[in-house]
Amino acid sequence: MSMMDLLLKDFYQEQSLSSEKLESIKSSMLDESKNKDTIHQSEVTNSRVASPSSYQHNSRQNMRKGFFTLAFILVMLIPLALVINTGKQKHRLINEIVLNHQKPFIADVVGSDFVKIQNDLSAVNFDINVPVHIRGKYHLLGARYCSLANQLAIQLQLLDKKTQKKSSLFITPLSEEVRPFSSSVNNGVNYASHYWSNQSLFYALLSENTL
Amino acid sequence: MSEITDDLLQHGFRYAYSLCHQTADAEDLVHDAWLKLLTSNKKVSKGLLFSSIRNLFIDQYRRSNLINIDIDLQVNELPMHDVNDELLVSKDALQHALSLLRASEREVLFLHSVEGYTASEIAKLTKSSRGTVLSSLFRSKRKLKKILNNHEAKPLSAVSGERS
Repeated sequence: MSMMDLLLKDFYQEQSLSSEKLESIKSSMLDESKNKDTIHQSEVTNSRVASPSSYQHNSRQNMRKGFFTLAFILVMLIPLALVINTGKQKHRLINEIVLNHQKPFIADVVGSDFVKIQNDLSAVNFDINVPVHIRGKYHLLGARYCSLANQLAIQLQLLDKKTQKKSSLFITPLSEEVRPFSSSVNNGVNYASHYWSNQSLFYALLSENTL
Repeated sequence: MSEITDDLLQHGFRYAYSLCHQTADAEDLVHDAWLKLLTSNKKVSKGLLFSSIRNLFIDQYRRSNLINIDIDLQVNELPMHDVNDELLVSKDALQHALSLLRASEREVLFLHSVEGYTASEIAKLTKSSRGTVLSSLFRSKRKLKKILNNHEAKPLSAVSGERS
């Protein structure tokens, strides 16, 4: 410790509260008796460590606030992340359907009879059940095996009886990958897709826009 | 318990005195800070008391200009004598020299030299960086030495006359 430090220390050590003032402060402390229990001897006695302790207390409070803020943000972000993820999955599914539709159609089974095709596509382990409204609206051109959402699917090539536009109906077992889209419509520039499901099958109908 | 409280209040008073350099003001500061802490439900510690005193001091300064923390002597213009730590200075000389320092300079000197706080601890209390504290400490000590040297070169009566 330098002489300067000693000089300062001596100087300030000589400064002290007068006994009258000290008593005055302490008597006001008694008036605040309801708060007396907040004075903790252990913290008061530890003179050097005591100084950062209040800041540690504050920093703990800040950390707690920060933690809750972060947790709140995360909780708010989870649904957003799910929505974004679902959006990406839907985008992938549409792309896959459009790509399948655009591929040169090499039919595994050729025919216009829905019942016959259902019987001929024996490689799939699910019952192909073409909805009645599809049978009424479209002519069947043929069918082939394909994949959709990483599982085996059937693509039926259809011809709209009115517009003479080609459409594709995809049928695949209802799985967790496709379940979120089992009741939705997507209208693109060139194609419109319609998705629905029954208890066991997922359907995706892709139609070329007539514009 | 009473002795502990007395000791804590005396520490608080000395810190308040280092800020305002006036006994009456320092007494009021420590009294107000003590009451403020008691009315809040916070645990009383020396650090918290110092922090409360400091906040009150700044608040009072903002409300009025009674507390002059911006007195800045142009130390570089003073003649520089040999600064020697072994120099003996009177209490009056030190009192006068400290009165010429800014509150922030007295504060950092007090916390370091009297309370033995480290630069990091002072930085936490004053909400500044450790580097700022270290440079402030160095400059404050140098300034105080220069004032003391200059003071020693003058008759004490001349210095007292300047103050009045």
